[in-house]
Amino acid sequence: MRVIVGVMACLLLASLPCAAQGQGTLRVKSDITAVEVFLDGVSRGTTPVTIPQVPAGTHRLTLAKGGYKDHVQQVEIGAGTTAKLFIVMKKEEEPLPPLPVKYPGLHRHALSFCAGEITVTSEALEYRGKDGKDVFRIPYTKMHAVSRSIGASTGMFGGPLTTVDLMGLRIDAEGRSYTFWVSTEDPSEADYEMQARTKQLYELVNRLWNQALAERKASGKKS
Amino acid sequence: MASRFPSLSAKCGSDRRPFRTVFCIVLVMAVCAPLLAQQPTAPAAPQVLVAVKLRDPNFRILHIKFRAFYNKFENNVVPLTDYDLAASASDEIMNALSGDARARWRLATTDEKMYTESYFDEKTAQGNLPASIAADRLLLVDIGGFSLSTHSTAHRMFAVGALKMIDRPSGRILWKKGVVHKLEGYKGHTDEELLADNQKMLKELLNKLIEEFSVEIKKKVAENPI
Repeated sequence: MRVIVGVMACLLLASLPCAAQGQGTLRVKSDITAVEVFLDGVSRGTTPVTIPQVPAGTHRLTLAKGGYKDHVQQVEIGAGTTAKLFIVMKKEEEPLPPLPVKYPGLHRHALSFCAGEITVTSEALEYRGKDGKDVFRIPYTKMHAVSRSIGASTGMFGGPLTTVDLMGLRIDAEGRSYTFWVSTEDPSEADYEMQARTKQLYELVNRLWNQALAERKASGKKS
Repeated sequence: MASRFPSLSAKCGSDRRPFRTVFCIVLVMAVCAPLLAQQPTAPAAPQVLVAVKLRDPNFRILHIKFRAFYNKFENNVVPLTDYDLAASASDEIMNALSGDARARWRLATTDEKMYTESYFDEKTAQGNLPASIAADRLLLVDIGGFSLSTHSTAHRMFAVGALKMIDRPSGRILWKKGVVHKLEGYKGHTDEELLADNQKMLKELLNKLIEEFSVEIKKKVAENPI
């Protein structure tokens, strides 16, 4: 009789759902894809990844990818819950091109353009028109936003929509905004050359502006 | 004939036979019960090939200034550095759709996208998926882009897209739906806040928007037949 009861009890236990006691799920995503994820030093795949059956408690999460700084943090996993994380990876510093860099440029006015020279220095973006009348300097510390745009338009409806490649470098600074294209005004210049140089200028100015913001943040100053 | 195993024969003698019978019946029932309790085998769920297309991989900011006699607009584009929006959206949509047990969902591979691309254009001839691609249905997720519309006090971060379910054998469009989702609880930030620190805040907000947008897509799919 004892044998029967024992066997029945074993079968009853075996038929119960395998409720995972004290385990949770961790979902890890990052801005760049295919970043290797380590949980407590063990590789668990690349982002985006969902790691099931993680014991509840505190764990050490590390994300690593070549060319980026390792991201290390502690994560708390609750029993029966899913913890979601989105990590913005930081790029390792690359050397800047030797500054100042000069570009032949077009500066957009309200209704027209003027041609001149754009100079990117370590502290500011400078512009000098060919006629010598339009001269200004925009320090990175005074910039509010750096983006791509063809500039503002007025009317009853939205402005013209165009592809980002055709857009200029747009700088929003204190008091006013500026739009530039890198162009030689040479009729033989191909459109893609102008687009590529303008993109290059955008990336350089955006990087220098971000550096200025980081320095300001580090020094604790307010804008 | 004398038993070769007297001791065993003695244990399993006629006095123990009822217990042995009960034991055998219980054992058979315990083994068979879970099998009998299972539902009759359902027909296999259709396999749905999911193709995601992102029209604009950048983030657009539409600045609007209302005036008495005219309005002022500006379309600013922020190229996202190191953020693969298309891959992120595809992964999140698949993660959301995996909760729908009516079908087996599968994301189109890079090679398969070559064939699914023509389906996004209604003017292009349909039904050109090669036989080697296994799928019963085709779900097209056409994402217009992720944008922010901002003027004085109103700030709306939103995603726009369209869904189309196609019956693979016949090439017939089963249903079409538009999807627009506004990020919940977004109160607005300055451009500087969004773009500083390698666009950290913008990327985090975009991730949240993609998650909510994927849930919205799942809801739309759930409302329609497969």
